[in-house]
Amino acid sequence: MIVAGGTYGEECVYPKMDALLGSGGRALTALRTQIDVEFHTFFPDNGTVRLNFGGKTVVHQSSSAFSFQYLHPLASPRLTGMLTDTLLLAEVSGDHVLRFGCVEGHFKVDAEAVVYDPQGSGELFSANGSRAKRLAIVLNEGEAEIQTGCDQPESAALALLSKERAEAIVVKRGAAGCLVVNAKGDISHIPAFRTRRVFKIGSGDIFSAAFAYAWIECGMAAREAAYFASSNAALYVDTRNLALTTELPSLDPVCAEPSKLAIAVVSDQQTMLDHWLAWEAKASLDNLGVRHVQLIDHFERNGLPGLLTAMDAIVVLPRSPEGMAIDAIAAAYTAKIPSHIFCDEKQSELRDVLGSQAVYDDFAGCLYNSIWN
Amino acid sequence: MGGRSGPPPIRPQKPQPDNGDGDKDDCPKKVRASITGPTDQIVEGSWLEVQLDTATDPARVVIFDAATGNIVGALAGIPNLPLLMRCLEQGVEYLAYVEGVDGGRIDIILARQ
Repeated sequence: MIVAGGTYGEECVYPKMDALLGSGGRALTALRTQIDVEFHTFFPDNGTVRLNFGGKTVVHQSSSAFSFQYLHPLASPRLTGMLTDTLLLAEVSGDHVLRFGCVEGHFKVDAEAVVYDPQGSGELFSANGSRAKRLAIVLNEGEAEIQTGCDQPESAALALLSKERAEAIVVKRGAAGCLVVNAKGDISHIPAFRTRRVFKIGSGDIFSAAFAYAWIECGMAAREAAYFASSNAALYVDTRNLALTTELPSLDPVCAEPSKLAIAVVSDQQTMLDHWLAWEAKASLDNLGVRHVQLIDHFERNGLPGLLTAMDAIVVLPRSPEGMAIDAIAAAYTAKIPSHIFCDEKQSELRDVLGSQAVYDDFAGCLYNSIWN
Repeated sequence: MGGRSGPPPIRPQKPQPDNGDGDKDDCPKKVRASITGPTDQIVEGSWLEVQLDTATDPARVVIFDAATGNIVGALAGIPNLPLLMRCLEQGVEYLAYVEGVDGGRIDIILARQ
């Protein structure tokens, strides 16, 4: 197989990551645990890519290296690097290709079987003259809407299927799993799998790599390949292990529909940090498609049980054993709604107070589990 | 995440290699990396050896466990890997501190000696 994709610096402050991967580098690393892979990428120098990824690599020279910097895995990244007016174009031909959208250019592909992941580029597979006898497109809901103008994932997938004459379309829906449309137009829903930690950075790359491996190399039907991909993505977000796994452990499928949920977010609201964290949680849940996210105000402390009855779950962000957030856990218990508590592993005093409740040391994991509840 | 055991303990510093060409001053004191490999005998908080393997093309930086003699893995996906390899070539020594072991992934910090 050929992987054609970007090589980018990736930094995350918490949990800590400092890597040179990008979609291409990550998918390549994952796929090489199963099959031989040739790598095509853009980068300013050949040596860095070759030393990092070895094997057969073809580096199409670019003028700048790019890096994505995240505060946490659900935060919007800051992109560093010099964008140019003209996108680079590199041609790739072969039997089996996994093509990713890139920041600095695009790959024109001519192949027997292709999996295309636009990576937010909004570019249709065929727009640059790319051709494939068998084509599957893996993209998220936002990309599907950009490419088709349809805001419903099912109709977007069907529109894209005929527009690109594809054999399969997979629309990733975050916490809600994904949907698959095959060549006949049959729609299947594939679940996400519950994990306590969710390291979101690069999870889409692993999904696409696993899908390409299963659909192209193993000959699985699109639906089964998407199930395999969703399982491998779950293992990755939990462990950050890049290896693809064919012997899947028992996983816990979750049927979630964020657009039907109302989730409350409670912090101690004493310091700017408390407010900042609560706002960050709200923004992240909004981005995950939750219908209603309510920040509980300090003045509402006495009315907490009543407020919470209209909620499906509560995200608690405590900093002190005496703060409002701890009160909210008791109020949620009274209101019979589940609490999901984010508590840094270094907050040992607080963790002792909380005991064995649903405490997460992973911010993204806490938020996802409030949806998967 | 995964019960990390805090910063690496201070190890006695080895004498620095000859610094005649000046380039060695650019060698990083610390490099963070993750490797995928057999985790059975790798213990959080332990130290592993770091070596440049020039028998392969391209050369690679391998991490091995001196206690068992097993190669744990090779470094990949590191922003400053070319610089690190140049430093190893020039005789700068590194040891790898195992910061975390989790589901087949080993987080290490390469510390310059």
